[in-house]
Amino acid sequence: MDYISLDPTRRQALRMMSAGLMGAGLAGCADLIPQGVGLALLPNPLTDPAVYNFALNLEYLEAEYYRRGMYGEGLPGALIGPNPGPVRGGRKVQFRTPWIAEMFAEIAEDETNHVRFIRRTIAASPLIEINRPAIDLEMSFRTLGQQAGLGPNFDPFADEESFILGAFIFEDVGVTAYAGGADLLADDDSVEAAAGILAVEAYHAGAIRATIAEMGPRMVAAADGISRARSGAESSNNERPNRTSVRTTDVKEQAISAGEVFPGEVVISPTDPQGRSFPRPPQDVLNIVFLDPDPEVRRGGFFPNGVQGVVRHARYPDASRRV
Amino acid sequence: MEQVDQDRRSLFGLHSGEAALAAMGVVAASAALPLSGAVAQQAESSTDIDIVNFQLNLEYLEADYYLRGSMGITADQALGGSQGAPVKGGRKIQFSNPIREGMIKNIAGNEMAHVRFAQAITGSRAIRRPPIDFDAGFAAVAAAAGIPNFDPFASEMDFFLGGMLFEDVGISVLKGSARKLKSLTLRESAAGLLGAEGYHMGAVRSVIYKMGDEWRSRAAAISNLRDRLDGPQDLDQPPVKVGDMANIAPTNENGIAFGRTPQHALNIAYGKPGPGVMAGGFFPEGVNGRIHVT
Repeated sequence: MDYISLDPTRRQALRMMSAGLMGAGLAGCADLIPQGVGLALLPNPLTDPAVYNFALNLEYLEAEYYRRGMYGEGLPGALIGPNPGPVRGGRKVQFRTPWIAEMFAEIAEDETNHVRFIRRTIAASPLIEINRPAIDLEMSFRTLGQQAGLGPNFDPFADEESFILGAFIFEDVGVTAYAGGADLLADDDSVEAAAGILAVEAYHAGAIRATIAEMGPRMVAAADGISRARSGAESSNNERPNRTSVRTTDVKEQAISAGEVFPGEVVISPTDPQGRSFPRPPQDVLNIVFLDPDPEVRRGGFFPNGVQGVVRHARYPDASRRV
Repeated sequence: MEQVDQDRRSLFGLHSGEAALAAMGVVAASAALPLSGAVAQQAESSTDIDIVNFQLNLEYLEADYYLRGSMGITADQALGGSQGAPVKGGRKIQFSNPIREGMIKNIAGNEMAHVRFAQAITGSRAIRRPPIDFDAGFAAVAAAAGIPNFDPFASEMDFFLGGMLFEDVGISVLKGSARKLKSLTLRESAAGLLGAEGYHMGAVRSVIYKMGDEWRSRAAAISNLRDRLDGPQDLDQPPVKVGDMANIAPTNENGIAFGRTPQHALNIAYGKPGPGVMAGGFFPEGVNGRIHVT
């Protein structure tokens, strides 16, 4: 399905059709009918809350990472749901540079606020899974560290530099995930809030890139290795159903040293030739956080038991386009 | 919802969706349209065109600012031909730090691409560049913000400060416009542009923050000026220390960036608060396009 060519009236009609069917009683019965059946009957399981539910997984991951590195403890009990998955690894980082610690305190706060905001926004919607998924901040980084050429025992909590590299792993992915979700949302308020979260993730990501660049060639080389590893974790085949974004491209990474326009560029903003941040459909995001390019992959990497919500495996068919 | 039968979901979910669309004749119609036409089709409605054209004014401003500062070239030179009215002021920075020079070049390349892209989206309805005056614009900012002898082209740190003046505003306008765009494809592109501008300002504001109180306080003066110009709501935060935290990303209590209307942005660019302002500051004859008055 190529959604770009639908005119706005048709889109509107589709949305109303979807809303109408839900209003006809399916939504109210969501708790009573088996989930698989409910999904099958809904014309569009990828509702706005479902898209946010997907994003919530990433926000949990980021919040746990930054809070554990900053304070030695994770999200408070009130923000992780009644049946949260465990978090493996993570500990307080010994920061040497006050302004860097202050920057990470800010990012930890922003990510915590994102978790709180999204939970509050979607909690009452049908088919939502609000619990924190199981998160691995130990083996995941070792695996990724190896793929990125950082050695066999990469530990982002070891020191300030390592923590910055760990942040670099997440932040670019967060931006691309929100950019890839922008056209999956229908409601104006959802769209505006997602744009506002995207902006904040981009502020973070730009700050992390600039910090790495100013720390010198060794840090830049390490970050470039991470960019390559992320590229490698994405499936190179574009044969998934509905993988039809106009901006679908094999390339969704631009390393700090990979400037393409002017000599001497330091890439603080990874973009396509039109100067836009890359969009990643949810499937690609899952491949990266599972650290596995297999389109069938359902768990692994940062989420050893998989993610929560409707969009939970890399082959999810409807996650490229709102249909 | 722990175990959903995946095969079943794909089968029913996808097929029912396809069936519904096919019944409406959508599948066949959409399959026939080539992807290459997508950029031109992005802005279908007049509202979308107006929004992108408004944004194009800001992209013209940013492109000339960053190209002049980073390499001493004009956007006309970089883009190969006159983009419209003349631009006054600006010159190559005397760089002392090659990393920061490289960052500014990266931003310059992005802004140049944004001009081209906004022109491609709006096609024959693209606005030309309005007259731009960096000299008068920054002189007014320096006076109003209380930063004596502020010359953004004097050094890379001054240049970051001048860039922050525009680009935080561009981000808030893109955020505020997201809900108004009708074309979904354009929404995806706008998100990409918002991302890029966010990266720029994250980098710039982190360097300002890193450089300590002297630069933080100048940035605060600019943030306060924007807040005075754009109306009673507090839509601005400077990169200063708040409690034990930095404030690189300006956010509300939900960790969400602020939104501005185009009119808010014009109050800042024209250097004058209130309704009915049509020109001033960086745009001595106003911006082009249907959205041009506060």
